[in-house]
Amino acid sequence: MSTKRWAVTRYILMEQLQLLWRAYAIILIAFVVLPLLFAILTGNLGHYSFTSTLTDLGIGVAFGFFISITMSLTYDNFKLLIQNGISRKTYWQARVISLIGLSFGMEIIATLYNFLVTAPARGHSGQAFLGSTLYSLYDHFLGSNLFVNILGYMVFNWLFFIGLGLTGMAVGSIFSLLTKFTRNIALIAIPVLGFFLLVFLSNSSLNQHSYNLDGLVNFLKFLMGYHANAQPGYFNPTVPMLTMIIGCVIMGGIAYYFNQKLKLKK
Amino acid sequence: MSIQLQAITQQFHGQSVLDNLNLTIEPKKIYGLLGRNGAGKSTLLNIISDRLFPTSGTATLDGETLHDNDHTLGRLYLMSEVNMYNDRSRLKRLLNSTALFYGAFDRDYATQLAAKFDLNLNQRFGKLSTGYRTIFKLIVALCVPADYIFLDEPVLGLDANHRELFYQALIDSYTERPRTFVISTHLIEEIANLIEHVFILDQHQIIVNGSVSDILDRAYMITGPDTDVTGYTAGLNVIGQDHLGGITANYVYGALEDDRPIPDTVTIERLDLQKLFVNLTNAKEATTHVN
Repeated sequence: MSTKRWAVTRYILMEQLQLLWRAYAIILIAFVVLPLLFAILTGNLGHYSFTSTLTDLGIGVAFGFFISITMSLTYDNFKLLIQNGISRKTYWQARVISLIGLSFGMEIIATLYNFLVTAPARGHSGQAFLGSTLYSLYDHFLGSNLFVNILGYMVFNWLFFIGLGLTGMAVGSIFSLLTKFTRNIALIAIPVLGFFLLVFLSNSSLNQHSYNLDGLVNFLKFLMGYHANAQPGYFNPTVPMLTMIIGCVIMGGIAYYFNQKLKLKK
Repeated sequence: MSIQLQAITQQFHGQSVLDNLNLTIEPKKIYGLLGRNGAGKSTLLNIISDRLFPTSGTATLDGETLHDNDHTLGRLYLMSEVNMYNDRSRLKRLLNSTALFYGAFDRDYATQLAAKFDLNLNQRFGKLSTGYRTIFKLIVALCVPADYIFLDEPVLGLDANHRELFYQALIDSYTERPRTFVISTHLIEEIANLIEHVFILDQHQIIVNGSVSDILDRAYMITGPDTDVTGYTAGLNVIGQDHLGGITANYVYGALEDDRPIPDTVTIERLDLQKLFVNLTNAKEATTHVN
């Protein structure tokens, strides 16, 4: 890795770690400390379960939100980096490298937490815990070896985090090119249009005789790893993984394209 | 070994800001980039430092493109009027990040300069006054290991004492490590003795490009009674005129004809850089006005 790319990667990674530390501190305060204080103040300490609160933290989910939001923050770092003689290409590369690295690290931490803290605290076996996650659709496909299944679960989540981060990067890069006015309009218009699209799709599925959505449904089932008569737990995880990889490449490409167009606004 | 701008054109919303501009910036020289408000000085500097894309044309450093190129961009530094730093960042952290990205950043000199300017490096950038923001940016500009330093409005918000301190620091730094400085400012008199070479940007073009001494050798103020001055300067490149009572001053840019007899009532003096700049950049307005 070139000296500059390494320097920028290090800078972004350190910045992300600082933000991540603060984000988890806020989560701990909001979901552990404050309920505890509230229970003490209201005299309901008997109803407060420290173990239950701690095991429901959802480290992975929080990281998903964190990585998609922080990766979308583009313009401030662009200003700092172009001020310091760093090209747009290096900025993009460093962000992708730090995203991959940070997601990997956090996936390991989240997995260790889930299987060493949450699962035992709930009295679940490792395999039973897998069955309570999104990976439950695939948790028997690779056989009965728990370690292999956990490995599959980790790769699945890792790719998902990378996809979220790259989507954040793509959206952030596009928004960085817009004026404040256009950005505000887009922020209002996109959720409204999304809502109408959802209403349209749900109406369409209720009136199947008007629109035949079988093809779309079958395609979505395929993307989720469904294959002939497969029961949940036996879906093929490699299909959604490949789909996520393709999605990552597309989002990364969009992020790169718009990142190359970043320029000083004033 | 130079920065080369070739056929740079920049348009915003269909309006021309720079038009087919060609320029060479050589190593280890101090340049002045002069132009009126809105002439395109900042745009030009932003194009060189790859913060803006030109509509057409190329910018290279030693033959290598300046666009999206860490190697060439790392050899220049633009201290701009626009604040590029995050308001929440502490100055010490900004120095650290500059050192991380540029390498070989002169941290000791930065600390010395901060002390001289009475700048507390523990403060957040957003908490600084306009003057102190400028001071911080100047300190960084003088301490980065870049070969080409561009200073856009380097004394914005600085009081006279701090301006003196800055000019002295610039001279010291240049003497210690000669490199190229391009100074874009409206305070021409203050930098006139610092710069070796001047670019004057007007009407989207570079209208003057040369060493300060050569340019001033061709700039004259011819004063005397109106008829004598008008007669003497007929056919010369008169770029401006002043009247006071019966006395007229014609400003001429270009060679005087040696064989032309000088009337006893007429005196010829050299122009200073500011007066030359004012008359050159007013010339078109004056012409329009006369016509």
